[in-house]
Amino acid sequence: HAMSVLATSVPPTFDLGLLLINNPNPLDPASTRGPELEPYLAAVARENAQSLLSEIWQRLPAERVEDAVVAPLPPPSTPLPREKPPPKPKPPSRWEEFARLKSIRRNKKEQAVWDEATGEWRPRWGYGRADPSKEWLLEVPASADPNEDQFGRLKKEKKERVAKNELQRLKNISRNMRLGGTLPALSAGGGGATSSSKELKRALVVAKRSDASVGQFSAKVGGEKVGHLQGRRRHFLPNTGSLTAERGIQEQVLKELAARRTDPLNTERAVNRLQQQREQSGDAANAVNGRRRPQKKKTAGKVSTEGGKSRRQNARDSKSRKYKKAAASGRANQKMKSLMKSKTLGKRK
Amino acid sequence: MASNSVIKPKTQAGKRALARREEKVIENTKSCLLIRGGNTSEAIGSCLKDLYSLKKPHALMLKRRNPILPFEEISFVEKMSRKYDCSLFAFASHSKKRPNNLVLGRLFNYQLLDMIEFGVEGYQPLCTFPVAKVPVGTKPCLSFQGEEFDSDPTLMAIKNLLLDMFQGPRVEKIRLQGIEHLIQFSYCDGQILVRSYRILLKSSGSKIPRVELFEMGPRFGLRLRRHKLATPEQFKQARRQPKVATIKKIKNIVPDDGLGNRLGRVHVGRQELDKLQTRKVKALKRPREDFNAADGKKIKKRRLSDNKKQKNKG
Repeated sequence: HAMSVLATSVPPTFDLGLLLINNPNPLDPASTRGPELEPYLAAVARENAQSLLSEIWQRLPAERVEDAVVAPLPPPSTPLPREKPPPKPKPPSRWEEFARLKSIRRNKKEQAVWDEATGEWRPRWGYGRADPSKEWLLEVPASADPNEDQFGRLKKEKKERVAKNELQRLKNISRNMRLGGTLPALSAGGGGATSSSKELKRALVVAKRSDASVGQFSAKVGGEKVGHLQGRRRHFLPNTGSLTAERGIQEQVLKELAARRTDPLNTERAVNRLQQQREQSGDAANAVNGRRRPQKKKTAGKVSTEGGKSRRQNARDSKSRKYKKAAASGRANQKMKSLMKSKTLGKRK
Repeated sequence: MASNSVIKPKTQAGKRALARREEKVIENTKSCLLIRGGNTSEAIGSCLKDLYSLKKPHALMLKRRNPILPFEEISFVEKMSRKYDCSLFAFASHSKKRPNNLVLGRLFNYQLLDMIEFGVEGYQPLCTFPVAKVPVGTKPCLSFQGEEFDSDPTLMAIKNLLLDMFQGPRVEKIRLQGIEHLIQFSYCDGQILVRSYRILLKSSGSKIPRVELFEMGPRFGLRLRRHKLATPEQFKQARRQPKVATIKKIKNIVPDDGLGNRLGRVHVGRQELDKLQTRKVKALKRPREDFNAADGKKIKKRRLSDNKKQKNKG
């Protein structure tokens, strides 16, 4: 599978720090269809790998480190983001400042100390050290009270030293905070991201114009350039003034509202209502408990009235199926409603 | 920093763990957090496992299912990233609307930097390829095929993310025989085809070896769905490098002229010789006329004591 379609058009670029090859040539569309795809991709990959390895072998100087041939990698040229922000320099503590001024240098202490009591070399710290708190015998100094607990005194003094050290450490932290360092880590992990000055300025502009007066009366922050006011301000008419003008405005509003309705009189509804009224007054005899009874009620088949079916009957027939369904759901709703009604909290009026 | 925290670590292990997490000049290799969503299909679940295998040991797979929606609420991912100190994440889920969904993303300072949602198509797992796999922790070679990776802004961002995800550990030196892994990303018809190969170096006639590739798996195609990219501002901030102390070149001073002499040129500036402050010489105090009298004799030097005597006299 000789693949030379890609190699010639645009030469690939490399980023050896990431072992990266960028080949800006497009894939051959004919070869990417069907079963040819995988062999084609493998061939392309092989070419790329070969170019990359030749580049590595040619550009990077090979060294020998204990029977392995290594090459130093250059730093990557592609910009990749960091994981966390770079560390901020820690301000020196009070002791460090003092030591710097007095040019006191740290002396490297040896690990072993000659212990007179046991007559041997002991480590300065850690396992096996000569711990003064583990002494079995203590001399009572001449100036001390004979009834004083010497062991207790040592313990107390140690506690005080530890507490003092802790206090000074916390003071240093608070001092760093005051001097504008980062907030001390109360738990592991970094703090929130700080906005850049651009983002802060943008946020300020947005916050300022987010009130009714579009920032007209907001206090100016130091160093802020105030441009022209952006945004629409709501204008209200004065409360006092000409009554006729106000009346005119209200009438105008009502007119517009009225003009929107193309058919101010709902004819269909009016006709239905009229019919209802007529039926109620006409069929007063049929009505039981004020409820209209359907004319079909007594007979199994259809009822034939004099002079054909009434309009109402026709409408009822055609919609009967729909109404039955609606009635069924209506009944369900009614049941729900009655259930709900029974659970009133207050007095039903 | 551990020494800057109010709470001090009580054990050495705790101290080391905190030191590992703190901000450093040279950072640790980015860890990837792998999360399974509420529902996963077999394919996408297997794909996530393969991703975990590829990224070991710098990866962490969460055991439980987490029914979250990264594009709506990213706070869970940020919390987990802070807990486990991971700055890359991969979230796999499956739904009718978004089948075989994979969200790859990264964080800066435990806050979302960017994330891209892909639909995984044509997936073949790692185990189906009979080729022997590379050792864990191998630094892979990366190959990007397609002009869109350099021109289209979205694809450039995707490339950056994929680079970050798959670059492996940062090393100063690389063993040339240890270049064993190649991952190829090719852009084709709206899909990014991902193929992973094992490199075998065969001897050729020249010094440069001949490359032979064997597809090791996994094999899949990524179809771009949604994305949430970082603004240039955010990216710039994430890119800020620490100021490395450079040896400042001191101008004008030659530290060693070869003979152990330190040379430099002193620039004094303009001097007015008659207004120079030198040693006090009384002779120079008197005006010049006194020196040569009309008769040519030198005027006798007068002493201060003479003046006093004269004063006392007169």
